[in-house]
Amino acid sequence: MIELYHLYKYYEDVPALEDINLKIEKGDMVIITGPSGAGKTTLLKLIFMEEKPTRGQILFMGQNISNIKKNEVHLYRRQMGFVFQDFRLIEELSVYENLSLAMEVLWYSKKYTDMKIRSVLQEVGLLHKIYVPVKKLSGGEQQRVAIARSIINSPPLLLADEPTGNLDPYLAEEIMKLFKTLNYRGTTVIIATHDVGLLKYARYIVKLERGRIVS
Amino acid sequence: MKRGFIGKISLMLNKAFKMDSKESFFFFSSTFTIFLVSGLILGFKWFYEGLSLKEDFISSYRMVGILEEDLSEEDLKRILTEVQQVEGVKSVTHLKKEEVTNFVSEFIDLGKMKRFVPDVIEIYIDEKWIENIEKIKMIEEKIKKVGGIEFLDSAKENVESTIRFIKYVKRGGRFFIMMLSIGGILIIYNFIHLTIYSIHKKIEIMKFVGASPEFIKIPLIIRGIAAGILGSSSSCIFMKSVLHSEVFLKEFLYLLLYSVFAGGFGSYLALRSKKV
Repeated sequence: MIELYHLYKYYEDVPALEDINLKIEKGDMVIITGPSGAGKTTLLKLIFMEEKPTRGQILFMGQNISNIKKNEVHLYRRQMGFVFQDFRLIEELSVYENLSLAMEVLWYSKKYTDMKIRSVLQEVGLLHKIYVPVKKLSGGEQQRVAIARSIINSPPLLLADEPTGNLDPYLAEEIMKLFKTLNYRGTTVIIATHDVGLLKYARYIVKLERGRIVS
Repeated sequence: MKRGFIGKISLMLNKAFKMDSKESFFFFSSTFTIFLVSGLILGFKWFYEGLSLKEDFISSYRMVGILEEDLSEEDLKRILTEVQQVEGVKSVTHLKKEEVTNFVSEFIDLGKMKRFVPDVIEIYIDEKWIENIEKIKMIEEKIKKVGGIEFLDSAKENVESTIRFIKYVKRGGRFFIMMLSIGGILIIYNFIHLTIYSIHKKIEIMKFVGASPEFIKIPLIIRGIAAGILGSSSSCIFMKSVLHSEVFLKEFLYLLLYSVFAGGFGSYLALRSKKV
C-alpha cells in the first residue's frame, strides 16, 4: 500500500529523516517507535503529504506522490484518515458538526452524512454524546471523536501521531483496541508512538533513531 | 448520496454565513465601512457630476459691447442685426445709457460721471458654444468686425479659468472616487484576512479532512461579496430614505457591480496572500 524508497527530509541543513526504505502492505498494523526527535512525526507528515520529502519516493497504491501538485493533495488525503495527539477538533462545535465537516468536504448529502455519523459514533461508543460540544468531552472521548472523524469516510489507510499521548493508560488501551478493531476490518493502520507499552498491538514495529530506521 | 448542484450551493452559502461572534464582528464592521465608503463615493459623484459649467457658472454669461457715441437708429439696428447673425449668438439686447447707469449705480456711486456711461449691447451666446473657449474667441472676432462697436468684453479669461477649475474638480473627483474604490477593496481584503486568521485552525482541520481549496475559498469569497453588497445597498437606501437624495437605478447598479467586484477581488487577494 505504501512504499518509501530512499526517503530523505532535511530542515534547512538539519537531517530529520535519512535513507528511509519501508514497505507497508494493505491490512498491516505498523507502529513506528523511537525516542523524541527520531523522526516519527516527520515520517507521518511525509506520508500524509503535509510536507514534501527533500529526496526519495513515496508510492501510495503504486502511484508516486512525492511530487504531487498542491491542488491535488486533498484528493490524496481523502484516501486516508489522520489522528493527532492534540485531537485537532473544533472545540466550539458539537461532535455531530465536527464529524459532518469531514463528510461535507466530499459533498455528501445531509441524509447520508447523518446516517454515517450515527453509525461511526455507534462504533466508537459515543452516540449518546452526538450533540454535545466537543469542549465538554473528556480527553479520551475527544480522541474517539477524532478517530471517528478519521474513519467516517472509510479510508483504506489510517495514520495516528501519538494518539494516546494525552490519555491515561486505561484510555490509551481503549483507543489502541479501537485501532486494532479497525485494522481487523481491513484498514491499514500506521501509528507513531514512543510508548513501548503499546507495541504489543503492532503486527510490525519500525524503530527510528536519529532519522534512520534501526530495526 | 452526494449533493446536487443546489445542495452544493446551499452548503457553500451555509458555510459563508455561519459565523461565530468574532467572524460576525469582522463582517459587520467591514460592511459598515463599505457603507461609509459607498456613501462618500455616491456623495462625491453627485457633487462633481452636478457641477455644470452651463448651469452653475455660465448661465449668466454674456459678452458686453460698448457702442460708439451718437449712433443713429439705423446704425443701431444694423449692429443688432449683424451681431445676431454671427453663428453662436443666441440673442442681443440693447441697453441705453440710462439703463446702464441705473444698473451700474446699484453697485458704484457714479456721482458726476453719469454722462460718461455709454450705450451697450448684451450678447447672449448659445449654450453649446460656451464650453469651448476657441468658439468664444471665434464669436468675439466676428463681433469685433461689426462697425459701431467701440469695445467688446468677452470675459473669455473668466470662462477659461472656470472651465479649468471645473476640469480640475472633476479630475480630482474621479481620483478621489478611484481611491475610495481601491479603499473598498482593501477593506474587504483586510476583513477576509482577519477572518482567515481567526478561523485558521478550522481551515487547517478542513485541509486535513480532504477539503479542496475551492471548498475553503468559495464561502470566504461569498462572504466578502456579501459584505460589499450589503454595505453599498444600505448606503443607497440610506441616501434615498434619510437624506432624500436622488438615487437612480443606474447608480445603484453601478455601485452593486462595484461591490461585487470589490468583494470578490478583495477576498481573492486575501486568500492568495494567506495561501489558503
